Amino acid sequence: MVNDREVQYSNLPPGSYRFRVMASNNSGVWNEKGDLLDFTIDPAYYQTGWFRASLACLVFLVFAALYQYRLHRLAHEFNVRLEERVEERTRIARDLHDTLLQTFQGLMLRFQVVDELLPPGKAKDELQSTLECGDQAVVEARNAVHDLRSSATTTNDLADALRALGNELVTKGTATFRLVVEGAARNLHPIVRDEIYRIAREALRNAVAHGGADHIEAGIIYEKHLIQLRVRDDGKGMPPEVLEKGRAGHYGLSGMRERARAIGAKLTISSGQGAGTEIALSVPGPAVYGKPPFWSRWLPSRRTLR
Amino acid sequence: MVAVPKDLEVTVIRVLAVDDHAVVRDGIARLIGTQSDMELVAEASDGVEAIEQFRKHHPDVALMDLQMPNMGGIDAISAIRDGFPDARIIVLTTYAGDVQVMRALKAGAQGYLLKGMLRKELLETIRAVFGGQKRLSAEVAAGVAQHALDSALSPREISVLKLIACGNANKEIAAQLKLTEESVKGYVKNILLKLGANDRTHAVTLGLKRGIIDLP
Repeated sequence: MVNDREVQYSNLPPGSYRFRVMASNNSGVWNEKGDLLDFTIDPAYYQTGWFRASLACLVFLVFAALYQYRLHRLAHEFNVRLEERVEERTRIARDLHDTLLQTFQGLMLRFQVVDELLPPGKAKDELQSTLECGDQAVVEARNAVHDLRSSATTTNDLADALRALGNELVTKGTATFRLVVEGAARNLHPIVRDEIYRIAREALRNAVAHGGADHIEAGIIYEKHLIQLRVRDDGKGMPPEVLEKGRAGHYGLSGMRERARAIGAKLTISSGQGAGTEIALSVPGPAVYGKPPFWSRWLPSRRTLR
Repeated sequence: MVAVPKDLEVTVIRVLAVDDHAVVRDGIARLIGTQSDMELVAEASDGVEAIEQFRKHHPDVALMDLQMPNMGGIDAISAIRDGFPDARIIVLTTYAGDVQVMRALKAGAQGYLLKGMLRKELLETIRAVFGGQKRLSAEVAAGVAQHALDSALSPREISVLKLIACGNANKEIAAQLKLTEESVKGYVKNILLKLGANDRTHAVTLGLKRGIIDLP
């Protein structure tokens, strides 16, 4: 009850209201019936459910975009690093070809001079067999340099490359080779592709050379964010100590592990005496496919991957 | 070494060595130095020098590297053979691609040796080529034999293949060679057929391996 002719309400939330008023005159006679005033307070724009829902959506979208951006940055950085490695590799190949390889080829000639000058005897025999090993080493070095040089332009289809390799390798032995591809083939980053190829090559060579297998099977599985490679054989398998430390004087297994590590892939080699050998490689991450994030399609002038 | 009666004058084969790597020239020089029936008369480190030295010394046999700065071996062989049709030239190179071998032979080379085989084959090959024979390293000969009956790519097809190797799509190749996209497609189809390639990238790989195209 107030004596004023005015009434104030602060902070009324939006909604429908009924204002009732009773008053008395100077003689204290009350108007018992009173009077009514209905009114509604419309919600301000920021008080509407729509606004709040949109705001929540917006916050969510901002976070999603930030997340995508972060992913994209990571993929981009990874790709930049890979590009740098491609360039560096080409440079190394050129250097090796121009320096080491030519030097070896020149040195082999000079050793041959020694051989020409030596009278027949033990030293000459020893030198000749050493020179044979040298020839072999030069050929291996030449092929390795060639691999480095040509990898940037070799076939982008991993399956083609592995099929050709597998078929070529098994012609030297009695085993059969089969390649299985699951999922749609995708473009891979050159470095990743090369490393997968080389791991597979080592695995296939091992299967042919040491496995004593009848059947060798390779599988490539393209998944959404992952590519998997499997090579297995039904040969005699590897004893645990070889599996752990590699064959004496051979660096194949440790080489495979190093290559896998370099591309952030997981490599498991399982084998048992008489149980064949299986290697499984799984390469994760957006960098595998070198794929830009979805929204970049709307951005202008991005280099498209072919 | 050929046995020669002592009182007869021995024919000395005069050799020119052309290679941009000093260490290879040095090895060749020393190896030839051990032989009484040959001598190294001059060295050159690129195609231009090779032509100069050949003019100056008229060697009996020239040993020629293929990949060199300024002027490569094939051009030098053609130029030398233009001036001296009976020049005897042996190619020395690191890789054996059958098409590159054929190119060198067509330019006028009589021998083709892989550098990895030099210590065993160089001296014999110099003598054989000096005697008028043709000699190829076994690996080289095998590559040539394998593709002897294949039909060769036309110059146009080679330029298309080069552009494919540089990563161009048909449309871009058409624009650069001033052809329609349709005819580029035709060339690509022929290239795949002639090389026995599964796809464009495979064709590039084979092209590099066989020496039809060089790396850009």
